[in-house]
Amino acid sequence: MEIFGVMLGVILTALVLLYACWVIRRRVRQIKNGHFCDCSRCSKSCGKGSCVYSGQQRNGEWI
Amino acid sequence: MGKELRVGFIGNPNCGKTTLFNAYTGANLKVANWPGVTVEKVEGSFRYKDYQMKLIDLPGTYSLTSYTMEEKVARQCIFSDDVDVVVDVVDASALERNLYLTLQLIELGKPVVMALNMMDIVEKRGMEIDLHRLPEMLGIPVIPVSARKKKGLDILMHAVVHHKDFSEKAPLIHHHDKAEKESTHLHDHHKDFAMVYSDEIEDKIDLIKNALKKKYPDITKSRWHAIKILEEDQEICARYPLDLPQVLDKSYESRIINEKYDFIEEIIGEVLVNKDERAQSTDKIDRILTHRIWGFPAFLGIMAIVFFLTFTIGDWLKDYLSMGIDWLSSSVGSLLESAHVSVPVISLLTDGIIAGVGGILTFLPNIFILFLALGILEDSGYMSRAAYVMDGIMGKLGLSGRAFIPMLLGFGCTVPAIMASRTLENRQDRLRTMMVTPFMSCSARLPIYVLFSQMFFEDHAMIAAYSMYVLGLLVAIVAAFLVHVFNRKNSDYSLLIELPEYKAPSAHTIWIYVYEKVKDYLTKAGTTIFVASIIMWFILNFGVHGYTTEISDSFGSMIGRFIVPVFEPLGLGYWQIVVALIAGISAKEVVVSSCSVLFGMGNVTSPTGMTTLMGVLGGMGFGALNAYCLMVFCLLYIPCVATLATIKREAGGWKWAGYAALFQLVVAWVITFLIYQVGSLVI
Repeated sequence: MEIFGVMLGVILTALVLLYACWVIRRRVRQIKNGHFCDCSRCSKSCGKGSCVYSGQQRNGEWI
Repeated sequence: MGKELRVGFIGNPNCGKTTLFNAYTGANLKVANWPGVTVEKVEGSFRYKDYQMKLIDLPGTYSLTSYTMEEKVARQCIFSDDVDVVVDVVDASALERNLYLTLQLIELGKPVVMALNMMDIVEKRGMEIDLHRLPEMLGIPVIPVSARKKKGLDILMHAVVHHKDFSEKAPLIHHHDKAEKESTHLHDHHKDFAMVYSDEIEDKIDLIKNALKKKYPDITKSRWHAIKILEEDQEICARYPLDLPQVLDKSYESRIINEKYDFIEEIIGEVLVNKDERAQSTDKIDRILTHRIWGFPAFLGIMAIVFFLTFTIGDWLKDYLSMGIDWLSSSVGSLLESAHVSVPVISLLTDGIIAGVGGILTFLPNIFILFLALGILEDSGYMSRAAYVMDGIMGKLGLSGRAFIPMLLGFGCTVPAIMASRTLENRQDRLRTMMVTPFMSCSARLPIYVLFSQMFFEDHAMIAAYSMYVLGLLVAIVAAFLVHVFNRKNSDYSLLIELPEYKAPSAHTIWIYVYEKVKDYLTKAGTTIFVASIIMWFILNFGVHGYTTEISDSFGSMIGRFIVPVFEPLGLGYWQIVVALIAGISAKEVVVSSCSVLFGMGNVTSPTGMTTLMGVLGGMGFGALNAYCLMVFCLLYIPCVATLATIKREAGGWKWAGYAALFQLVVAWVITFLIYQVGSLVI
């Protein structure tokens, strides 16, 4: 049972660390590509902050 | 292969130009920048009968002067061989405002076709436009379209193809009433041009045209050039200097503009039926909300209502989420204990990740309500009024009126607010705005205010938190003024902003807006906060001797104690608070998630957690004044990493990001110091 606990602990820790590494890599890649928001709209490379800049939206749609 | 036809799409911002452009090109487009400038250039193509249509989406602009980069780029493009036909996209529901650009386009001399967009909105409002009279008065084809519903698109292209070789205007039926104005012109301009100016102006145009043709024989569109020279257009006057002191005795720009608007009024009087009554109620509301004296208090009052709702409804929902997080933490802990998982791993998962991320997730209802309220204000049309109201104050402080729009965006998130400073032409204005915008309290700081104001201010929690937003606004304004004092270069541009009519907010629009914000918040919790919580757990549970349950032996404790003396005069001389503030540089919400880890509580945001935390802090001598100072410091100090990286990119170097960080740190330290020291004397 204790071995199971140790193995489970190792697996959980490994999963957490793997996920953390993936998050850090993703963030570094985003910043290198000029995408600083966590906002999904930055992938559209609007470059104008139009995720909240109302001048680019009308009725919720991009114009 | 087919013949190629180059079509330029131009129109006022928000007229649906890009929607119309996208309706033709779909995904088949290319985005770049116009050479040498930051203005975006979008090109697309599609086939129409025998023609390969090359479309260029020109920048949205209200006119074709040479004041802004967008206008210069649009004008140059139309003039060049890049464009064979111009499609002027006009918002039919705001015809009067859009016609100014139309008249300028017609004067440029290239074939113009008007796409009268948003006809569905016109019909909905019970308005009618005389579609026979309008082309008669303008001398160009007018095609009603609805870009969103994809109506009229074929007819528009049909008109573009048939109008491309049109160098002469269609015979104009309308002309100025000659009985009232006797013309002394040599030529009857009324048969040639839609826009005919007064006799004095037309005489001058004729004289300048003759002088231009004599001195510059290769010049084309001489009438347009003559008008621009009369307006003292910098670019045209520099390119075609003339020595006509008696003709060019002064600038006739405002007269030409006024006469254009007189003609526009004439057109509207003849073509527009049943003008929208909603416009009149908008004017009535604006008399209060944009009042010279009452506008600003109205703005503060509306923001107070927003925060009232955020705190009351948000908190009620928050308690349920807290219970859920508590249950999850205890369940996971018990499960792992029964599986004999090692204590450090259990601690990492429960005290690190669940406490850290869970603590942030409990504020989701507050975030939801905040953005719901901001979305309603935005969609109803109020936010542009806020910018207009602040324009007067900003102008007196030497900041461009346009700077407040980016600052207003800072209430949501500082990153797009910094990016939106690109709308400012002047580099000095952009830099000043970037230095000052982070003082506006972003949504990431809300969890800090909610937690500490509820713990230490109870019934006055909302006022304490709201005061942070007001303080942030005041500091931003004063900081802008101080930056202006040390760098006395006035802004070149005044504010030109569209004040749309008030309307009932659309549930669909607000749903999209709030959904995106909530999704972003959850994404941040699951990524940045997740990693920050792990790092915090590590530095607080590991020391020089490895894993430790004694927090005072941890790396975090060592770092905190080293820096604490700097924070003692601010009432923040507690190493745990210092560590939380350092962690908050990654993302402001981490200050709250760090408290869970720092004070060894499962969920510091639950009612039990808050009571316990208050007890612990109280035992350390941390009271209401200290809590207020903490909120003030969090409001004003170094922006988060994402903001610093954005400043670096927009300002062109880490130097400016460094200045911003240092500037904010100094301002935060000084103001917090003053509040604490004065507060200590009073309380």
